[in-house]
Amino acid sequence: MGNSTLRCLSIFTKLTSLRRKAPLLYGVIGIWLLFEFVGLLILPEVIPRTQYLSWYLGTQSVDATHRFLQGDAYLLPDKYCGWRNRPNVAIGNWVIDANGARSVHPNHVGLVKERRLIFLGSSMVNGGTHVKNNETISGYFEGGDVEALNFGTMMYSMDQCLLSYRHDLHKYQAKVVVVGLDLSSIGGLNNHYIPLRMREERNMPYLKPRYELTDGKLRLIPVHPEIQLARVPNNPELFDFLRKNDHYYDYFSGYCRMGLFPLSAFIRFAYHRVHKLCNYFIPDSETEDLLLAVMDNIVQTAREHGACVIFIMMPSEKEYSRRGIQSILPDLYSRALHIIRSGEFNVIDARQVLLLSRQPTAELFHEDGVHYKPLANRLIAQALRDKILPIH
Amino acid sequence: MNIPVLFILFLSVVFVFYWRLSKLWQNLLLSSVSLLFYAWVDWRFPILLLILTVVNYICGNKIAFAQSDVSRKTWLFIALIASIGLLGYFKYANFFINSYIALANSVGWHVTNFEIQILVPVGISFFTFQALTYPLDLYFGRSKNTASFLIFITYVTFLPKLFAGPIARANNFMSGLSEKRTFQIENIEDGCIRFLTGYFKKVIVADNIAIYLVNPVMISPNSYSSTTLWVAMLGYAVQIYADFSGYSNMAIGSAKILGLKIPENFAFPYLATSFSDFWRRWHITMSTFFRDYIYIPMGGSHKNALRTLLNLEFTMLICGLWHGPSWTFVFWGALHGLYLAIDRYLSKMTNLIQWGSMGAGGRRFAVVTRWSYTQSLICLAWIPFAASTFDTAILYLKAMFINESSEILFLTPPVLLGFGAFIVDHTYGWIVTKWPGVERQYIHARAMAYACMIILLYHFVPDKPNPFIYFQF
Repeated sequence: MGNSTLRCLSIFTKLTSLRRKAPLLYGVIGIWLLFEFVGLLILPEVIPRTQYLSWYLGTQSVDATHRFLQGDAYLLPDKYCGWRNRPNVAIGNWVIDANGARSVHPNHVGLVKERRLIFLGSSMVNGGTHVKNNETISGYFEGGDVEALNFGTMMYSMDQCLLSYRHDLHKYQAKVVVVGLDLSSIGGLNNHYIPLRMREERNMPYLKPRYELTDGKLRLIPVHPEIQLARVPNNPELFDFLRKNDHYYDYFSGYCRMGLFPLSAFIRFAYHRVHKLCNYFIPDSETEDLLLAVMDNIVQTAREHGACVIFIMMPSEKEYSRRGIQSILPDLYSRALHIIRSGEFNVIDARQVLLLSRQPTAELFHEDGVHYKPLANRLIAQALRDKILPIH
Repeated sequence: MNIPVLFILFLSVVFVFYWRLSKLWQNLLLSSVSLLFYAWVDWRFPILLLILTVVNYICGNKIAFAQSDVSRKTWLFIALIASIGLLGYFKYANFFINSYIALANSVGWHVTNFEIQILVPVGISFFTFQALTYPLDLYFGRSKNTASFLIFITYVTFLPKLFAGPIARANNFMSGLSEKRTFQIENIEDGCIRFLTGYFKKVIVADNIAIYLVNPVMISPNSYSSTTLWVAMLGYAVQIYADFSGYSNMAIGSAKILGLKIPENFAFPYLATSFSDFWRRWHITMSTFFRDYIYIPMGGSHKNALRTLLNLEFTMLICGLWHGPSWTFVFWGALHGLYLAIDRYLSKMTNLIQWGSMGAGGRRFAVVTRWSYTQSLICLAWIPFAASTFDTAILYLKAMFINESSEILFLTPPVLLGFGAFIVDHTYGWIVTKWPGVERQYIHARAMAYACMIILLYHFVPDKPNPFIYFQF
């Protein structure tokens, strides 16, 4: 008998012994493994994908989708960009004016001041609910003859900045367009449906358009949120669309196979961790090219409307402090910055600005590790001012 | 502090080396890792624990070797003063100060408010009582043998029961520590199943009911309809049971995995048909502690009726106060003292009725009636226990009977699952009480149930755990 046969026999003997001495434990493990097997191989063939999506999203996300479509959320569906700020909303510190901008002096809009800036980007630019309007980056600009309109919108990625500016925001005739970008907004370039990329964003189960790069040219893949989200989760067409166009669809497919039962879910989780780790070492040149093309398009569009563009690369707390395992992994923030700089754009490195201030991390970042505290916004605004002055 | 994770880490660290060691090294490993983990929660906590351990160990040994009764009494007195004094200072100093200030101000003396900044070590009520059982048992003659300091410190510091019991008696637990523990798959099986059951009770039953039902209602009871308040009251009864018995199960399971035995703490208390029956099923180790060390030494039920009543009431007042520095707990204890007194005399009266002559139907009617009023009063008593102040408790009770709001809190699937699991748990308890040993015949059904629990755990664990209720005690 070979070694492997002996090993098999030994395992068999141990299992028999376990069955005899601990029948309950044996039964629990056996039935659990059976469940895992059924979940892995049988259920995905029997249960429709729409049902899986319903489980994947949870009732909270499905409710959030319907509230969004009915216009009850703080963001409204938008056929160009997926969503946009709802005008005239005030929740504590967070006040959005009639134009959908977060500005300190909303009444100034329309007067066309000598110096007007518009800010585009995600909630990092918007400032989030933790700071007041006058404590955002744009807020520190307002006053005197400068008017700053903050159109930063939750979960916006770079393509949505381009779309919103191209379709709507250029009408404000700003002299300077400030675009905040971060690693998450770059990751969003390959994503249509937010929950596929970030399942934890339960309150933002929204759909967005995206660009793809074909023969060096940007091609828009539009979405119709009102139509495509209307029947969520029972919309097979949405699945076809996402399967073809969303790079993160595989994540959902993985959930269908390995998301329902704990052991397979743990294996899937471990796989994704390893995959994420690999991403630190393997550059995603496709996304990098797409990013440069989108940024180039923003600059071109702005130039057509007589504006110049300044990009602000914004780190999260993790990318800023680079503690723990981050300190030994390649610096994705630096790499993204390097790529952007290779495109000869006007870029401010917010991490450098914050590091030079020598302020403690807790004074710069909010507890969520993403949004900035007023001090950080002020420091970035100062760096931006220094950049803008020579232009004007 | 995530207790299940802490337990799993503790077991993982200990388990690797435990079985290869002699009993001496096993105990050394258990006590040192327990102390390290306790220090991990807060580095200052082990200091008080060690002081209590040393004091009670010395006093216990002095009692054991004392030649005269006076000497024995003196050493017991020292142990009691030191232990209860430390417990009193750490847990009750501010309570008594505040009560004194409130009383003084109410009679017209103007006393300025002040509080002492005290860091209360987690589990102080539990480990103080456990350490005390050593000198107490030696004094009352329940134990004849002294133990080595290593065994005693291992007993007091044993992590799984450190935070919230069960209150294991020194002589029982230390007898397990004085033997070498060997790896037995039966113990691992039993321990794992107990741990799983406890974890399920805590996170699926207690936490879901707390987060989605009890906590919102308790914040502003008058904003909800009467129906919601009644359901929330039942929810709290289930929550506190699942929370504490869940912890006890995890502690018992962890000990079992390491070849040690911790006494049972719960025996399906909501099946109780009388208040004395309830206290034989609820927090058993605490109720037996009060019975053996307070109620019986005071004379128990061997004195006249009035004295018995006073003994009961005093014991339950202390029991209430033990739960926390608040008059609502004292009231809850007093209420249960009253319940027990009524129960005592009611049972004498009902015994006069010949239920047996009414046949099986009559007996069943008697049981159901007793069960109904017992459980109704127990559930009502949870309201002052759950409320932070008397005002909230009164507001809650008032709103239960006078419907001032039509706001209904819909029961979400996790809450329904919690209630469902509780019903299954108590039905199982009823079956195994009625037909002992039946559980051994249905191993496959049980295995299926436990496997389902694993899967439900994966899906229904709330994002944010609710803290253990008994940690505040």
